[in-house]
Amino acid sequence: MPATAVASRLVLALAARTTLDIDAVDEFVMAVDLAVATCPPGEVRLEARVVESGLEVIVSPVSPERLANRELLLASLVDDVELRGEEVALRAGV
Amino acid sequence: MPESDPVSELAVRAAADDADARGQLLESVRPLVVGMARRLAGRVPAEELEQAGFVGVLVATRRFDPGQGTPFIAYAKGFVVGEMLACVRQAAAPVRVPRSVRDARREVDAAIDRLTAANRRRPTVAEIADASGLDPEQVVEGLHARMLRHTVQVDDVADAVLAVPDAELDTVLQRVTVEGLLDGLDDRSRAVVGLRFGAGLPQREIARRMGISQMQVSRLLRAALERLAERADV
Repeated sequence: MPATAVASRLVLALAARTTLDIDAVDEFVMAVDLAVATCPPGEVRLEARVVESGLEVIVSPVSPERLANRELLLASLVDDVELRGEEVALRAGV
Repeated sequence: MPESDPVSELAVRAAADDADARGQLLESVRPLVVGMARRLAGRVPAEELEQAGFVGVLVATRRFDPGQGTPFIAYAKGFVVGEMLACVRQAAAPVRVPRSVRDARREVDAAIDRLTAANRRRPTVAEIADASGLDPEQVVEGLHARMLRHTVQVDDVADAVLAVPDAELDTVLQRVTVEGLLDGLDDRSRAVVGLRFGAGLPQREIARRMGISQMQVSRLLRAALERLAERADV
């Protein structure tokens, strides 16, 4: 199963414990997919957790250069984007 | 425009939102589209390629400039082939959805419609689970299935592309183009990406403006982002 398919199911499962509406969840999944696509093949690490009534997903090891080019997109899809070296934290509803 | 080129005249009128001209134009180019679809048919049925080809024709009307002297039929060929090849590429990675997942997706869709109408807002995942009666795993699979890339009906795409005023679209596309994000995207993807990321409109507003469903906007957006994600240079 591709990493994006695993990531989207993980986000959907955790989203059931948040107050994010379905459109916000939909775009959160798109953002995670975009971040995951910058990881090297076969090497993706995901940390996901419910924070307050929102969601935080940390994706690594991402390509900082490629992710920087996608920052406009990511910032439109989620509430908060934090790029820290080779990992990116995506948050919504937090 | 040469008087001997009635198809080009129809294309100009179609671009100006003349529905009759659009219908006549599609009939005029049908032999071209059908012929190309037959040549490319294989993994993708000819009928599906024809639909993609007609989308290409309508996209071409937006770009066509009769002052350049090229007849519309010759100008549109590249757009027709481009849409058909995109269709073939998409079919190269087929998504097989089990019946149980299709059923779950149907229940999830119905629950979302009911809840949106009743509460006048979009539901949460927990609300969808409660309203659908599905177990959590089925809800996740149903929601995931909704997000998969999906063929959008030709009329919806055509209307989506043609419904956005040129001036407005040009403005938002300029903003996004600066970021180098639109390279390699086709016209329909540019329209959705431009309105979402250039103008900052939410999916529901884009859907309202284009006269299509929010889910169709989501699918067009997702397909555009997937193509972007496949690019190594961005």
